[in-house]
Amino acid sequence: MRKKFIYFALIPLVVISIVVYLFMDSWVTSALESAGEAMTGAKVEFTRLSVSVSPIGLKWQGLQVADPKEPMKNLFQTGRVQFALNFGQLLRGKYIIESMEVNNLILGTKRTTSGALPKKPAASKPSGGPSIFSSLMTEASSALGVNKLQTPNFDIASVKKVLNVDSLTNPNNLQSYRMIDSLKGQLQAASAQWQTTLGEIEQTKQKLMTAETNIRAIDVNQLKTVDQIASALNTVKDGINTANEVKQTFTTQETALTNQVTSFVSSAKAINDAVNQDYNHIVSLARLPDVNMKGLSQLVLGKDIMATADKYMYWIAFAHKHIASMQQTQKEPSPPRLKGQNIRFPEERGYPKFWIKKIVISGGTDKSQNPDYFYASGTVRNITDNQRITGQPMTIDLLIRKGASETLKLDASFDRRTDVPLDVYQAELTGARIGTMTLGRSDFLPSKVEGINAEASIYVKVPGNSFDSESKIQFSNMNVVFETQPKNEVEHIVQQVLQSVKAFNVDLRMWNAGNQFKMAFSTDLDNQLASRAKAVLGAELASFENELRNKLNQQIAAKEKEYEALLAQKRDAVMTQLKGYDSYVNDGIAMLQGKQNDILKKQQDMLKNKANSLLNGLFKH
Amino acid sequence: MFWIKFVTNFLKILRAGQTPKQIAGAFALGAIVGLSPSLTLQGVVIWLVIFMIDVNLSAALFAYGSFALIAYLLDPIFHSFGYFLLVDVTALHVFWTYLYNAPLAPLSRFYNTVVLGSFVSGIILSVPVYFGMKKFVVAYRTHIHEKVEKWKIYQVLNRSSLIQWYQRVRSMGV
Repeated sequence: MRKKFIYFALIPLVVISIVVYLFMDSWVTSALESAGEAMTGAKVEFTRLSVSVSPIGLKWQGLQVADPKEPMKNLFQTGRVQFALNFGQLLRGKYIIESMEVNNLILGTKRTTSGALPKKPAASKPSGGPSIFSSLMTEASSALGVNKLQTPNFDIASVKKVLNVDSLTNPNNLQSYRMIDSLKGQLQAASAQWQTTLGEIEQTKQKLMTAETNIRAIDVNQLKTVDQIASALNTVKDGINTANEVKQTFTTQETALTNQVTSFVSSAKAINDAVNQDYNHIVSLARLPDVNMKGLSQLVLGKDIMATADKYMYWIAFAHKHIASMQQTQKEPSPPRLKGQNIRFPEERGYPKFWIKKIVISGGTDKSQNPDYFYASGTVRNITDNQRITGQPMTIDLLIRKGASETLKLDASFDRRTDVPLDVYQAELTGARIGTMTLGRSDFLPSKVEGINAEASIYVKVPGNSFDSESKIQFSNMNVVFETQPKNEVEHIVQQVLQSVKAFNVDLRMWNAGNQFKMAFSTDLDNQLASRAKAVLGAELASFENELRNKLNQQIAAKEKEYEALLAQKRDAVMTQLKGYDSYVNDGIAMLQGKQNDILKKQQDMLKNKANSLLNGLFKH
Repeated sequence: MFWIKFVTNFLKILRAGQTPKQIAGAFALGAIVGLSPSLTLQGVVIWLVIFMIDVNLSAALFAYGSFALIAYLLDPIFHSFGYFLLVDVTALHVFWTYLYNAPLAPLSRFYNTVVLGSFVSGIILSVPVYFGMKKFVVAYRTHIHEKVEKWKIYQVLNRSSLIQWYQRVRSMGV
């Protein structure tokens, strides 16, 4: 071996190797922390990370990933984690991990320092959540109406005091009133048009009159010769043709006019619909409560449920976005010379670029577990950048425990094997102590529920850009504490009912069909509230509603009569004239046909006489 | 500047210094890596061999540069030859499949038609190149050198003030 090689190649190589070996751990730690922080948007910190050479792999004693939404808490932290890479596949540029061991995975632990990242001057895109769900929460809030839902006023006496019925039924505010005015205007305009049409009919009538005059002038007795009869017959036939033309024109115009008149008669019926709409609008302005109490528990529970849904949807969106993004393929750099052709040979086992086959998670076995934290254990399988090669979807099977009784069993799968990605989550929560949950709103029944227990079953399916979730939650052991005294009868009822209720169920379904977000919220609390509220408020409400209805009907009735009178006047005028024209045309045609018959009879008589005189002459000779 | 120095150095080593075997061996190895495209496992191994064993580095570099230029023209032929070996010779399929699944072999990119064609061509050509070069060095030292020294271009190159200045600067250790 040449000496120069030892001095210039071998020794530098050994020195570089030593430097790399000494600093490798800190370089890898730094790279992984940066990548993790870019992904989560919060601090990611490794403790004592080390790279092992044989087998090649990583090991660390602790990892903390801060919650970007609550920087003083960790999303999760782990104890010792270790895994080895498949060396053979690493040489091919593939990162294959057969099994990863994660110890002491704990969720939601407190941090001693803030996990927030220093703010960058340039606006950066948010790392998680958004994408297809960016508007989901906005739509969900809108669908549930939590933000814009107006509190119904349950105090009928105060409603009556404050409410100005005259103002509510002011004609200027009524759609039906404006509609009648509009119809009157349209009727006046149509009436003018009808007169024009009648004028045109009058002109055609003149043609018929002229024909009639000509034919009346024919005296059948004065027709002495065959030629005179033939000429008279032609005149009569022309007259009949003219009369038929006039009849046809008249019929067409009569049909058009009748249709228009009929449409105005039927539009009068639409006034009733408008009156009903006005009534509903007035009731909503008065904020009268629905006696069925439908939606009351939505108002009471909606805020808290939306806050919880918002929290979990963020992470569903996060998973959907980041797992999908792993599928991006890297472009191979093209060699400078003729590329040649790569010939593929059968592979014993095809591997994707990145694949963690199995992560075994243990939530720790120590007896001194903090009851405030969530300890997770289970397995995560097949984290990869290309599920089409592995042929397996990514799955999560976790059992998360908190304290002695609270457990959450979470099964999830992320399928990217087909063109349409499919995420499915199934969670079963048992023995959860929610502690304190806020109910109501500042303007309606502000209250807290203490010591509440919850059990929930949640199913979420995210195929492509669609979304479908179904949650069944059972609350029990509840004790409601109201922050203020009841302001009215219904609040009093609701307070009484809620205080007596120790358990209730909530079903919540949220899904999107096409571009439309839909939500179905139901709870048996509604029925409990409704039966009590109906008994107290039903009669009083009905009476007040009748009062409003009568006032409205009064306002509209006079106006409606005006319109009906005008319509009757215009309609009668047109129909009378049409009737007159109809009988005149029919009479004229009858007269013309009579005259034609007379002339024909005269013609026959003349021919008969002529024949008789010819026969008599024959016998005389 | 570099190429002038490169040529003069090459002429110098042809004339004296290392043995014809060392020069011919370096030239043959340089020819193999020169013909192969891009960075491959076998290329790295051959370079290590060149650096480790006592062959002439200038000759290897000269061969590498010269054959790399020729290789650009020969790539279509290498592609055809590589395709023939990888696809048409069915008897080799089992061997290629074994290599394809072996841990290190894919780093050689043997499954690429141009890589395999050029490498095998290089190996085959290295034998005549070695012997041819060995004979050429002996012949150069005995007969050709005297004639070359009389060439005007050689004299120009050798006496060039630029070359002399370059050699002076180099000798100063800058």
